Amino acid sequence: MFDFNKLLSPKITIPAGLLASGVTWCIANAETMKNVYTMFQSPDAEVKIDADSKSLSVGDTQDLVIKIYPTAQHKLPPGTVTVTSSSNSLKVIPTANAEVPEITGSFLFKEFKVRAISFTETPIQVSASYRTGDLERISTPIIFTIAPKPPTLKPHFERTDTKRVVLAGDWEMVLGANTGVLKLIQSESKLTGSFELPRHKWKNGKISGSKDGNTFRMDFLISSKSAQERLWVVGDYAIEKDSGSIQMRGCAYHLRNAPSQNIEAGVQGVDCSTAVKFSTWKTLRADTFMATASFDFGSDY
Amino acid sequence: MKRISPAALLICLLSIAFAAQAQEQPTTKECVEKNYLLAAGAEVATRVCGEHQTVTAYIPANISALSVQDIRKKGTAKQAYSSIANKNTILIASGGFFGFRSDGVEKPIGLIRSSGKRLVKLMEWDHGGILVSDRKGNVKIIPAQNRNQAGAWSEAIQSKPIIMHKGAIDIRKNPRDAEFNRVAIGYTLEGDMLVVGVFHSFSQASTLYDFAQKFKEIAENRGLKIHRALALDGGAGAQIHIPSKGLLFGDSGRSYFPNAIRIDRLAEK
Repeated sequence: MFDFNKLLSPKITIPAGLLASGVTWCIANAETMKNVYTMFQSPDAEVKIDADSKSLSVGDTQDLVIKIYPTAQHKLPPGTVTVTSSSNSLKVIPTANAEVPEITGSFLFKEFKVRAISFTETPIQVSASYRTGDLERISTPIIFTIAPKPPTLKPHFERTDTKRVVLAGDWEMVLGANTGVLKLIQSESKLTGSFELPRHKWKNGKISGSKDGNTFRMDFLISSKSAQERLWVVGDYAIEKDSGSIQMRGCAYHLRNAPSQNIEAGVQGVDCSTAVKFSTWKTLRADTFMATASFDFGSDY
Repeated sequence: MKRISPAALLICLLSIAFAAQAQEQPTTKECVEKNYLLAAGAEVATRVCGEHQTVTAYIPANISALSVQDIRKKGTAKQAYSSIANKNTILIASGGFFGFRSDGVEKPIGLIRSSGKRLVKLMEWDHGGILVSDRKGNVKIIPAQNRNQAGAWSEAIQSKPIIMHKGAIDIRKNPRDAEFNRVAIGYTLEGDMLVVGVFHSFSQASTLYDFAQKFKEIAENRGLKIHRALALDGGAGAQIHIPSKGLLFGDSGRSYFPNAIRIDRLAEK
């Protein structure tokens, strides 16, 4: 009798030696086989976006960090990255898109920023997309919120019966021939803050001082030399109703500790010369000091 | 005739010159004390320790007249006070506080009466007091709760706080109490006056509480039982000037000086 099953499934016998040599060849050429396999695969990528702070106030700028990396074995060919904001209240700067080179490992892109343009109560989505050829991948969006701009604190009157002046705020200053900025914080009569003098010997530092009546007394702290040297800035201020400003005027004395110096002489804040002497400190140099800020005659802080 | 060597003569002359100028005594390595005798038994003691200065003026009872001087000048204390000194002036010291008008111009704050005229209105402060004088040797500090009594005196100046009462410190420690130059005036029930000032090269002399302690200590060392002592304007306004000795204590810089107290020797003393 004819065995139909034998006809449909013929028994193929592979010699054991041939099988073994085939496996050996595959192992030896695994890398080549892998490359041949990936040639038939499409490139793929993942895109991520992040920012240090997602709570901004109007006027704030925040850096974005975009990470692109291939998820397949392929390198990613050159492409473009585009950052999209869901609201005009948050603008992507300097541009919304940029070219990226070929990516082999992972690629960090840090050229994009967002700037909060206007207040909105609606959360804003920002996402990054990467496109190369037919491939387009979009990141999971991050959510920003924008708060109103905090009021800029200006020097103003304290709301007390003595109507004292609060010097807190941003000041433009001239120390000798150097221009700079002064940021002051006032608590009771104590002044703290910072100074920046880009072209001065001491470019920046903290401030510690006091305000009393219409006078100010400030130490511009020189961090590396605070025990031995100090920049003592002293004077008085006047409010100018017509220009809506307040002006400090006085002198900056560069002093060096000199325990044997026990003379006090001169008029601090008026005579900007080394003729002004301080007990236990030697006056190395004296410069004129002026600072101006806008004065708020009416705000209730 | 006995001959005197030139060296001995020089030593003798120098000794006389130093004694006439002031009694100077180095108390410690860092501190120097000086005492000055003023008119009619008044005296001033100074103690300088590096950047710190303490000035004590003692004015015995019934020899002086205290008056309130209206100044309202911007400038240095030397400029502001020079115009109010006279040949009988023992001492000029800080006055009351000042604030600002809406246009930013400085103005005195707190009651000022001078020569029987009210120049600045009373402030309804719930603490502090009013230093009053009849210009005939009587001086008193009226506490805030009795402030309406001040109208009966020809001279009055309102300030705060009262730092001593009945020989004890009358203020509490306050974490917001900052270091500034300070001046206060106190009196005994016998009529003696004590003016104390603490000063510092960088205007950071003392907290108010530490100053009150120093005032008490100085009074006790002199055997004075202070009935009341009132702090006068501090900071750049804290000044003590002794015109007869050319002594100026306080911030040398420019400020606004609304007023001052002046203590003159009574003409007949």
